[in-house]
Amino acid sequence: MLFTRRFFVLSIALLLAITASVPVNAQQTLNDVKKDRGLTDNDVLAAAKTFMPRGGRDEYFGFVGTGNSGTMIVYGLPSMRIYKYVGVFSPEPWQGYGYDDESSLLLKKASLDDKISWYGDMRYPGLSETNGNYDGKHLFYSDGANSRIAMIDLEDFETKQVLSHPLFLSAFPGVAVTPNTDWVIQTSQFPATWNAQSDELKSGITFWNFHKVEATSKTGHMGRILKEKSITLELPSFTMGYSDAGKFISDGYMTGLASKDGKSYVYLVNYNKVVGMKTKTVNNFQVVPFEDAIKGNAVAMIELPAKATYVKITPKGKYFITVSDETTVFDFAKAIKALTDKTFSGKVDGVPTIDAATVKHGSIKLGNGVMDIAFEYRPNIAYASAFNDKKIVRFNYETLKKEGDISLTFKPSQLMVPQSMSATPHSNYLTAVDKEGLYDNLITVGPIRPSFQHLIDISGDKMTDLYTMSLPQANMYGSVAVLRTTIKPIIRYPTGTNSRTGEISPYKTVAGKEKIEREGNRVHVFGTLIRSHITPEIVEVNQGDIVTFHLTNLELAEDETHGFTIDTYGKHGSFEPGKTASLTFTANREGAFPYYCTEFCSALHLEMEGILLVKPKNFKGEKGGEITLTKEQLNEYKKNYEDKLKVISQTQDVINSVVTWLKENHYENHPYVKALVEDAVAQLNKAATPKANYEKFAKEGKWKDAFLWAEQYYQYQVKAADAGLRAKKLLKEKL
Amino acid sequence: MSIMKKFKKYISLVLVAALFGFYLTLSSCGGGAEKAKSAEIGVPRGNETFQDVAKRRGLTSEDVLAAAKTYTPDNLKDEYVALNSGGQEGNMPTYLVPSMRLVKYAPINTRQPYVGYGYSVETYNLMKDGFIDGQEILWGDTHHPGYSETDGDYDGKWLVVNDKANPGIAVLDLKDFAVKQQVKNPLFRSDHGGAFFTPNSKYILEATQYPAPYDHKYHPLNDINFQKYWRGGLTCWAFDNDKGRISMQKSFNFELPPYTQDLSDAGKLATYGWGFTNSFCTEMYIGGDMQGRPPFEAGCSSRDVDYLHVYNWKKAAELIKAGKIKTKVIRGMRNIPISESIKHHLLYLIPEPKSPHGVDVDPTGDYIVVAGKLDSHAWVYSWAKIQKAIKEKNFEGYDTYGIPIIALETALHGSVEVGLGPLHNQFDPKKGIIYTSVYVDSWTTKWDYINLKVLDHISSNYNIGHLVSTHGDTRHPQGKYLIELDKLSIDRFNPVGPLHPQNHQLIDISGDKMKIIYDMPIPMGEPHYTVMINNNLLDPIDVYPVGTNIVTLKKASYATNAGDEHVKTKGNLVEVFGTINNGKVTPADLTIKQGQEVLIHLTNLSQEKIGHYVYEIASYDKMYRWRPGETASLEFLADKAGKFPLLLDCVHSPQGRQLQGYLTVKYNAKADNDRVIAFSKRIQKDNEMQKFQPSAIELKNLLPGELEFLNYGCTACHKFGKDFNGPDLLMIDKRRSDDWLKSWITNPKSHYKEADIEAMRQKYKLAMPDQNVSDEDVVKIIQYLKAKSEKVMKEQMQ
Repeated sequence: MLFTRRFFVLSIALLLAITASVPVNAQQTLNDVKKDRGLTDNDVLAAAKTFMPRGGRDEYFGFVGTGNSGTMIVYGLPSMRIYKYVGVFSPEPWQGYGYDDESSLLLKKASLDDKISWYGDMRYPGLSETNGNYDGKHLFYSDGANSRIAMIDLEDFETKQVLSHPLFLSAFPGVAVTPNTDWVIQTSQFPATWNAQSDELKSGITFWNFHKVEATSKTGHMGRILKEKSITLELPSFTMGYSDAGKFISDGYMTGLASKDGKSYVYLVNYNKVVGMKTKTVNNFQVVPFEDAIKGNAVAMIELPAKATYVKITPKGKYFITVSDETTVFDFAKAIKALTDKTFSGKVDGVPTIDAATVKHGSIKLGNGVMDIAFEYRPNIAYASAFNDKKIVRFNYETLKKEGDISLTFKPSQLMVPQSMSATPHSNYLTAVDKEGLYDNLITVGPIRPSFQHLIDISGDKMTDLYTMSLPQANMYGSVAVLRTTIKPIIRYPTGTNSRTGEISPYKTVAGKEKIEREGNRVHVFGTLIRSHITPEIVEVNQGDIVTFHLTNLELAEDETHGFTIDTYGKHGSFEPGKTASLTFTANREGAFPYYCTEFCSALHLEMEGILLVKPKNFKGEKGGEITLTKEQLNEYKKNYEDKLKVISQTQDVINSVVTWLKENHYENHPYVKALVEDAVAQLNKAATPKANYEKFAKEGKWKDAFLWAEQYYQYQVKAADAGLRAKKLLKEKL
Repeated sequence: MSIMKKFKKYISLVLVAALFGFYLTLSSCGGGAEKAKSAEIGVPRGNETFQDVAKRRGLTSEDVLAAAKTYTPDNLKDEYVALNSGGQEGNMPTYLVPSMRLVKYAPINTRQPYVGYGYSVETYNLMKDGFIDGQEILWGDTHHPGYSETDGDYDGKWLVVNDKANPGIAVLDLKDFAVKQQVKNPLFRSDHGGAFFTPNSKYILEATQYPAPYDHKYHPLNDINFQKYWRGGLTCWAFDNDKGRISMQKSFNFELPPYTQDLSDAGKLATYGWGFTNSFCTEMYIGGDMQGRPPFEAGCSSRDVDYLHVYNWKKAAELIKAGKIKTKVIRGMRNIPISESIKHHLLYLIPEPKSPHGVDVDPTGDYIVVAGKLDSHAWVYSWAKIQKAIKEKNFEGYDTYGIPIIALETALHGSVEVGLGPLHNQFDPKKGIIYTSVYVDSWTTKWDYINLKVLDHISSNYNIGHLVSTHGDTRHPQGKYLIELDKLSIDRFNPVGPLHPQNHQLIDISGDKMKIIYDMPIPMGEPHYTVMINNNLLDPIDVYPVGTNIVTLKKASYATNAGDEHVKTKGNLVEVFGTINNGKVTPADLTIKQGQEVLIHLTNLSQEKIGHYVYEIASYDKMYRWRPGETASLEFLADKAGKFPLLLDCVHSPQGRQLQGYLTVKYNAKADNDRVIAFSKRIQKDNEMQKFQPSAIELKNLLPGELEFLNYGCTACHKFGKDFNGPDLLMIDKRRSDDWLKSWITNPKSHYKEADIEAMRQKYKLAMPDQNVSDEDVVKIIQYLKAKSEKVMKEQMQ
């Protein structure tokens, strides 16, 4: 009903929008704005296609290869707003990535030198697949800088695994994922040595074994790459480029680009065969020797007439297309047959070659400086970017005919259509990267500019350029996008979760169980975080102690993240609801060091503080002491205490009325409301201790203590009311 | 006292009333896009008319208007540049208004590989200036940025920002949006209220947050010591607005009581020469929830008011210059003791609303507005009244430290109920108009601070912290746009896991009614404060003259011309003087002995806007981005032997990385031993943390004890079936008894004198290090030695 009424109003309004003026308020109409800002009708149409109404959801999640930033970018299509940066190969302090113990160790163990590598180069992400379709569970990146591979869990958008490659010194910064995510394929890029004391340059293709777990645990998708089961195919020294994994008729095969001595090749590998071959162990890693792969007829190369930038396999697995000005479409069935039948034309560096002419479906001249292609929903349709022509060309790879183009104001390079690399590409949107980013009217902010990509509307016959998106802190190359609803993220962890393993941390601490344990110079602080205090608030250690704060965020409410740092000690952790993480440092400097919550969490966020005292050996300074209250001051506290009790009682009445209302309206039937009510109840339950305390101190006539505990009781009431009122508001909307 | 009492009474009541009176505006409307569902997702929609689009996306006419107000096609220009403190992310997210597109994360306190900040010798040394007491600090908590001012208006030259976790100030040059200076506060352990420029950028005000002893010494924590040793402070950093540099020598600090100081603002016009700083926890309360005391949050909010600090920085500077005030230089910072500030009438306190955040001087300099989070009112102070009280010495009393307290009623112009949790204020070009962010009520209140009445509210999603209007803290606010910095976004955006983005809401303030026209997620970091400058004040550069060191902006002494490239070896140092010329690095190949120090100076000869190059050494974790014209250096120890590709990536070309040549590091036994020893030390440091814990699935695929073998770094020296840096471990269990292995692993030194061990030490030139293996773990490691041997043997048999 609401929708119809709303829609009725707006459809009338919008009917008028293009031709006449919409009276929005007394002062301003759409025409005024158009005139004022110099917008055309087409601009307004583009704005309407991309602007996200408040609280709306984007259709797709886009994931960007960000080059040397080592950090992933998640954005939404079509609003092109960036939602998140996630530390992958580079440390990132907002998330505590590389700054807390758990993630520091994750990164250190991902280095053959046991160091935190300070950057990575990630250009082509790969999404996990089930039956050739994106399943929205995992995302993989290859590090072309420090030769690593990473897996991100799309349930909590955190990096779960970073593994170093034991053989490659130079990896291609992209991955290919097989149709059921059995293998994540990473190749070398530039030839390098596999052994520090040898000069022999080698190349290779690594099939990282991925252990899938169908069931999703409470803490995340449990799948992991298993280094022990992964296999590298050894190759002679080629410079290796982009690769892709086949599907359907080409399932079990992969293709990739290679070059040597000025000649370009596309290679074909029967990886089902390779992974079944006998291996030798090199650097504690399983390797299929080159000779065995050749003997086993598992690999061949096709020489290309010109250098290609990409090779991509069509959605149904029928063709693989090498991208260059004259783009060649290869028939997979023919290529497989040639490999199987050993119809070879010769050899390059010991690798058998197949004559391109015998396995080609055809070729098509697409333009000048053709960079990349992307597939879409329409059968046999793909898009090609012609960098020098400033054009995107729509073409049919079956009939090898052009079907239209769009002239652009920039030189397009990498292209992406949502779901494009899966078995079921979608239509309507195409993104094109603009590497140069030369815009006369775009405000520059110094020599270093962001990356840019354009959103192109491909829904109709005519393509239109809708939006210019800037991506800071990214040297953008490839990207992938998946339908929003395919990904099902969580909003909190079960209390005590080590988010990197997805399991309950041995350092999980619950309310009331906080403690400080010492053994020699080793101090473990088991603490908790909750709006708006850290327990413990005072920690005293000896100079030189090795101190670890193991903290658990006890919050259940969505978006109630706390951060934690100790001033000038260089450590930082981010504690999302339920997370446990640890910070270790050597307290090598004496003095008083404030620690605090770094994420604005509540009205009393600034009061969420504590003090670390580091005591030197043989301390001989003044002891100090407590100040005794005068009678007058004591009486003042007594009065304050009595006033506070009145406020507490009034507040309780309001809370009770909210609780009654919530119960009457069956809040428990609405999970989100229920979560808020549980949060409110949890806050109130915490108030029991302060109450016992203030009653006790009042009895003893210790009015200052009584007053302060009453104040703390009241703070819990306020927090309970805060959450309770959110619950009521939300339930009202739902009813 | 009468007003005080009145406030005292109703503050608590109002808090309750306000809390329950004003519901949080948790609206979950919108989501229009979801409602329109086509038969099959992803099918081409065909040519759509405007009406089709509006229908499909569920756009209201308000939405379309908002879209038109923010959508900025390539032929149009944005109007403002907003620089945000990134909070615990340590960079400065920078976006354009009104299109709300992020264009930069300007690095301040955190290394950033994309721009190379902290990766070249020059930028790492700049970061080093931010290290404290020798502690390497590679992140920061940037809080409050400020633009430099001339006559109380932005001049577009510099931006400064403080770091709450590692107190100090960074100076950013708006010509290239890069940091040029880092200064650390030698007195503070924490700061918050800064950086605020005085109207002619003579000084930058930086206030403490959490007090700490100035002597940086240990004192047992109790009330007496806290009041005696712990101190707050307000540092006036002397700034040269032409050179854009802070001078520590010319700076000075007001010692302040150990109240928890907060935000500040510098007076202008009538208030010129004065500064204003908020505080909370004037109770000087020490929490201790595990010591049986109520937490800080209870004790720090138990008084009904806190103190606004009012100080005369101009007079203080004059007195110091004239030598008429007793100051003491502590660790390089000139400090004015509280007693001297009192003696020379430099410092006053005024009661202010409880737990305040923003203190903001209005464009005329006549009024000071304070927002206190635990009071539902914003309080307006009249400078005329304050001056009169000071002149007439009309004080209600003195605080513990003898600082005169100006009575509230003599200073207050009035107060207005703006909602629960007022936090920060910004001004409008219209006289008397102010915008106040209201945290708990999740809205912005537009009100008149002269006539003391509320004009409008607009909701925020959710829990707004700071807000910023165009030039909203200068003498000439420009109106038009206001941005709410929402602390929670909860359900506003596509879900991206437990850690949510922040939400910045752009508000059109050109009309009488405020209108939200854009919701922008902040994808990384948590901006605390934002400053927005009109683009016409900025004139940034695109390229540097060839040979520029970008930190000093001077010609680098090691800048190299094309044709002059060369390699110099002096002792253990190999110094390379090279160029990047049109996509080629000279020299292309480098040959180095393992263990040598390498210093590569490269000059990027390009003068093209798009001539940016990333040069990297594969698998050496060494990389830097050379801007057009830049000269910069990479420094490293060639600790690993091998042949490593040297790569160059033209950032603005789609071609990808190009191989330049190889770094050949020739194996050297001694250097390799050093590498192994360094590795072993890192492992020992790691083991101070918890043990590395892979997930259950990974663990299942490891042999028993394999994780311990890895965690203690045994892999650095040992392999199975092969000699490495240490002896082959294959069948070690057959050669040595379990007891011997146990003793050897846990206490290697006791075996060094055994003849065969001595022989091996000669052979491998390495001694087995003591990795502090626990008794429990040594059993596991021995178990692994057996299992792995068995596995390798089996493989070899096959």
